[in-house]
Amino acid sequence: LREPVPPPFEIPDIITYAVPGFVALILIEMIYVRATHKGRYQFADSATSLSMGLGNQVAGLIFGGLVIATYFWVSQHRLFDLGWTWPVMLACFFAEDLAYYWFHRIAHERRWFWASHVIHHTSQHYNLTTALRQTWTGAISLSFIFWLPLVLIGFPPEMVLMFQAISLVYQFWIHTEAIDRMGPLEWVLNTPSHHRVHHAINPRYLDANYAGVLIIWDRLFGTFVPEDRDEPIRYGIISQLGTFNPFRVAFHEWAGIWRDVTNAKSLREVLGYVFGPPGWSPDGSRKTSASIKAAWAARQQGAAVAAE
Amino acid sequence: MSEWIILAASAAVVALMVLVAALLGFRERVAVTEAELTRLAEAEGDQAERALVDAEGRLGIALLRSGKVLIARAMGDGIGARELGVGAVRAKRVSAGVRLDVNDIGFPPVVMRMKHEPPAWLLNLGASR
Repeated sequence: LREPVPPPFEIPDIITYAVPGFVALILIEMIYVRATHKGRYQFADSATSLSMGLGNQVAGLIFGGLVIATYFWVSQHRLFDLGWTWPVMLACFFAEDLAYYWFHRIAHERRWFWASHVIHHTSQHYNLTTALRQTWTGAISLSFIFWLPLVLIGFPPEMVLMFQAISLVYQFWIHTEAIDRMGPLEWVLNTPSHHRVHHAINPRYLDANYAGVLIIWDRLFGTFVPEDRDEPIRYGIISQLGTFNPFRVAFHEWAGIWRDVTNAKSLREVLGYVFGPPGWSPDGSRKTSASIKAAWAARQQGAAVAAE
Repeated sequence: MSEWIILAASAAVVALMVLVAALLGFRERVAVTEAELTRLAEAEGDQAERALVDAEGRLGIALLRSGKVLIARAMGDGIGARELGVGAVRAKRVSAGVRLDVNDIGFPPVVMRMKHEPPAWLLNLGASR
């Protein structure tokens, strides 16, 4: 067995250290929104978001060990010993962010992963409490497999986990309507403006801006959509929830998969319901992102022809 | 052990933040109206042919020209809406009004409180299932 190369310094519990900052920023944003009306808060919505964050912490205590053990097991079969050097850390930062991009994109494109990730999108609000509306079932859906190639290549597991934590902390502050545009930073970084687009359900904004820290991946892979000041953003999911109950929020899509699979008439239907795009149905009667965007594009084209 | 202490502290902080949100007055509520049902239907490229809102404005339901059903529920300062096939909604008369069930744990069953006798088209929803 090959133990991973240990870190040359003690890695702090980055997320725990960031929590007081999260709390302070949420309180500041609440007061700012109350004073300026730039942004929206709603008591019940925030209570649900914060409860989901708490539940995510509980899920981490229960399943986190399994994820870490998997990282270390894969590390024993690594291809290279990359070790803890500055160039390797720089490469790991980019590799982790790229892994996040693909995890996030597939989490929107495949229902199995969407069932877990949808929780983060269920709020009709976009504020700093929305950032904490996190899944309880990430480990169960095996979301962590997207980072395993990094460990297999030879990045030390602790290094990958460290950059995952940094990415998570980074992504907190971009969940706000209080910050408009950020000048040249918009070219490189994921910003509040870019991430507002990601949380939008306006057809033109669907399935865009999957970035974690760097928006370059969306620009590179063709999923970047800029925010249009003339189009007010509607937040949430296509089929908005009718509940604030955290347990219903956490498990509603899994229950939907179960209902569909138990009513499926063939293996093709089972696979479609589980691994197809969210909204997939055998007869195409339900809405997917693609069908919503196509209908919107047709309406736009029709309006343009009528205007001519 | 320390993890559970951090968790307990997190729960206390969550309670504090929810309290602050309440104290700051983030308790706006919207009511579902027939006009809102019409707007929601039109946003889907459809039209509401019949619409009904409960006595408290918490819930509205519309039969659409396409044959589908639109259900809208007040969710704080927002509205949660579903467009469904007519067979996907089950209506049942209960003492307080009409109970609507769409068989989705993300949109739990709800009772429409009615000032008047509920119309037949509402009570017939899901009858053929």
